[in-house]
Amino acid sequence: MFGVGVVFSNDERLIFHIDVNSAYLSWTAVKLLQYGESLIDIREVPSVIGGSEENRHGIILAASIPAKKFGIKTGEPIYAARLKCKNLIVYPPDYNWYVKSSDALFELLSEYSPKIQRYSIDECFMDCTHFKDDYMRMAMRIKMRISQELGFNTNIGISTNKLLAKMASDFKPKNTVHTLFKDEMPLKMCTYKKGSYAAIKNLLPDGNLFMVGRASEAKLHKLNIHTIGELAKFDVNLLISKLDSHGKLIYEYANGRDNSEIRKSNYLEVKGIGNSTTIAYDIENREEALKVLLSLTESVSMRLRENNSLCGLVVVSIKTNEFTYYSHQKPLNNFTDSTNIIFEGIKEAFKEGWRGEKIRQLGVRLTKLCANSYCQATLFDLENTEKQRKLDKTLDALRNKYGKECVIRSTFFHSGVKPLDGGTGSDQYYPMMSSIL
Amino acid sequence: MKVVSKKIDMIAYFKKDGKINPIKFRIEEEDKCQVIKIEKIISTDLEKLCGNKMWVFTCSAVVNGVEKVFELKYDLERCRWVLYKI
Repeated sequence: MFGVGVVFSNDERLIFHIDVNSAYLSWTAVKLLQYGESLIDIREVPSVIGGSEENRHGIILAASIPAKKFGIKTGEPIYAARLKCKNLIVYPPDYNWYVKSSDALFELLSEYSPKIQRYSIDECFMDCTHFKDDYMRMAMRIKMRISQELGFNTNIGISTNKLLAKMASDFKPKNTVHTLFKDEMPLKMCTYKKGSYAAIKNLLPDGNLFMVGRASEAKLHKLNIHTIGELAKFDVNLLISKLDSHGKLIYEYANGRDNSEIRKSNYLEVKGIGNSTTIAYDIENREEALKVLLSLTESVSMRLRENNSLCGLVVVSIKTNEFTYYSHQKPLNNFTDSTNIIFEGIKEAFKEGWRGEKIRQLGVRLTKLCANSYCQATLFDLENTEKQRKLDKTLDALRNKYGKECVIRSTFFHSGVKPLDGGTGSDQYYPMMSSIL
Repeated sequence: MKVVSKKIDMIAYFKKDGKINPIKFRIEEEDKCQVIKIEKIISTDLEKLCGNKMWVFTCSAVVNGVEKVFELKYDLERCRWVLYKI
């Protein structure tokens, strides 16, 4: 366990992946204890963090280990979980508190390495090549300090690249330091789940190989690949012909190869910006749907401008009350970042796309992005565009300074629709997860 | 000591070097109000669970003729005092 006998070549890196155990739940537990709002540690009883059922955000965001023993999983509806466990306690999420906790974790880790990537709100990659001689003890010390000072438990995965480090931190038991070096792969990958052989038998019961989900799993089964070992030895060209670049990627991952750098920011090149929201009731008429779309457009176009981009294509996505999902897109005549012009496009896309069903969820997405350093001006309404840009800029500045709802459109007044919707409800920077390491 | 976590009104003084000294506090219970004067500060610790900073004071005082040890917390961000444990 102490990595005795692991010999590193000089050019090899050493990466730590720090993962908070049931992050939302642990952080809420610490908050309740710190303020004395709860006498019990909610990590030790069946409890979950879930959205408000009244507003139909009633899915589980995190579950405690005792709750997981009842078969309760992240992402399932709260009422379904209540059927599994009668005295389940549900707590609402507090995103500002989570951002604070995440910041505190990052600050503590910064004492150990200058190269840290915040991969998501509860995960960090850290370059620890300088701890090569004594990495196990360092990892334990870091883990202990987090538990003592910040009050929550973590898993630390150690390996020579980000992929393997991430896979290692997934191992059980929780609250432990795990390693997964290349030569340990065949051994640890097939035995770690409850000591059973099952994990490697179904390539992916619940996320064993990063980036292989249900869809790719089905495709791999067709090629008669059932284990990570089989995938690692498969003909890469055949994989590429069937799965394109993704085939190459998972082939490399199955072999434990990954050269990605520890990046300062998670945002590479953004391909699109989108927000969606589940509405508290089913929407049946166009007027109301447009209001919700407008509120989403407000926040999405604000993010677009923050990103210094223009968009050329808008997409509206609709989920009906029967959970069918579809989307419709509309190219814009010109690249733009103006809320009004984008909303015109959204309106048209919605008009063309909507089939008249009751709507449960609406989404807005802007793609075909380009930099806003220069843009093609239209000949006829140059003056208008300039005015619009100035207006948008002023509104953004006001909203950033005095809060998102300091200036709102009058149409939202007493309408019951949030003037700016989408996102995590936190007005601070919220580190989002990406599928790129 | 048991966790009670009750909001209290506090008189404290803030020293030049930034240290905080609680002096006395008032606790409201159902129908009556009680003022407790702090005799001694036994220890002072900064707690930063989840990055949320709180000063924790372990103090002693005479309450109803009996000397008691209790814990006060000062929430730095919200500027609020709580009687945490008694």
